[in-house]
Amino acid sequence: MDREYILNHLKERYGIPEEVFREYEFLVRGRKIWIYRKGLWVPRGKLESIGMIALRIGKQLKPTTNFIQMFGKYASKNVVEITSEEDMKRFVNGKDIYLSISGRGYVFVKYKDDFLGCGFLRDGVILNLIPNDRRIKID
Amino acid sequence: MGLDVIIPREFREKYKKILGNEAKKFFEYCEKPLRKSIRVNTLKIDYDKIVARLEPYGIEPLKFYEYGFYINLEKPGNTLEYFMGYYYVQEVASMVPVLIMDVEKNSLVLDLCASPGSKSTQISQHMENTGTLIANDVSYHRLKLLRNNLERMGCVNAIVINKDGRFLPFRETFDYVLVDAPCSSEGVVRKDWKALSSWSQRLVISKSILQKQLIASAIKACKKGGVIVYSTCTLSPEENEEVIDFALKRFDVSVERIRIKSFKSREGIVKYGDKRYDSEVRKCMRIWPQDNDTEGFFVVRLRKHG
Repeated sequence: MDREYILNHLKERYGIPEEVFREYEFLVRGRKIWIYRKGLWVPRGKLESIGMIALRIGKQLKPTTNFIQMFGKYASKNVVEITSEEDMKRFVNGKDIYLSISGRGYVFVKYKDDFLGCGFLRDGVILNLIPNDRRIKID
Repeated sequence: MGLDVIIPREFREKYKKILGNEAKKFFEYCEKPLRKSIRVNTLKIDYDKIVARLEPYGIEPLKFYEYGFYINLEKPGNTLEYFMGYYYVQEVASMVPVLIMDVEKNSLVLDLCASPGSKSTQISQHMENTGTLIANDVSYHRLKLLRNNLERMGCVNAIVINKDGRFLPFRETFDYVLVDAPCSSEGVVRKDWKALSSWSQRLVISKSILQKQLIASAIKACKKGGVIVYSTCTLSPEENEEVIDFALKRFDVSVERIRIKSFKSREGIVKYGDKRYDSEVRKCMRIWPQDNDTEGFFVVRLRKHG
């Protein structure tokens, strides 16, 4: 999997133009695709992380919450907007959201101007993919 | 809970000798809870937008640092803005080391003892995600928290490594090195009531030995002409001025006097018991809790020459 494949996926699935990533590099290691700033000085030896995990490799490429929060604003496709505050609170707390929309696959979940993170749309349900340690309870 | 329970007798005696009549005030502040404070993260949102969004919670800007605010929330980690990584919950005094580091964009920076990442994320923000930040921590278990925080705050110029900071392979590599050293944590008692429960003079001495090894490693890793910032959240001279005195004697470095407008700090201590430190340590910044209503902190900026 190379840069071209990743850029093409992000463009085809989410409508993010290639130019957005002009200043970024991707690195595929195992089942993770990292994104980091171009020109980074990389020391010799083992790295624990470089930049942030952008996508995880499975049957499909799954975008991470952190990636969506950074780059979601450039997406024009497969963005699902939550309109009620109650749904937003449920989503950031790790709960699934029920909406009357069709489609299937990973989606960027948005509330007002904020791209919250990733969900998996199936049969009108957005399955919650916010990592456990990122979930919070908003009072 | 009375003073005798929270503050060990040995600790009280030590600070009575250092502070004299002011010790009572210092102990009073050690018991006072801290105001909650945050640093807004301009890597993920525009400054004006996040300030406008936080205003309904009740915020008060810090006078000395544009990104720092007091916030009137009991749990600042339970907001949408926190979830989005638009701010980092950070104590006021802990914002000072990176502020005085005054890092330039496109620099090569090392954070030697980086977890949990408050200062690493702050460095990335000041660098505007340019250059390279190497965030190191010796503890593998603490790396997850460091990585999570760097990613939550959108720091894409950071690389995390897991090495013993005393034995780094780097020589004259970095433009800036931060040593936010592990310490006896005397200064955080206002945030963590248990901070002094394991305190002892023996702990202070053992940390001092480690800190000298860490600062030596940091100086070696720094380029000639580069900057080393040393900080601790403790107030014992053994972990602060004595470490800088050690660095001045062993290496070709000098102390740069830094003063921050609208933030009170005091000079480093030169005479302590029967010890006499290099007069240059006066230029260090001692941040006492009673001076700005913060945690206790010690910060110094060194310049490497040879």
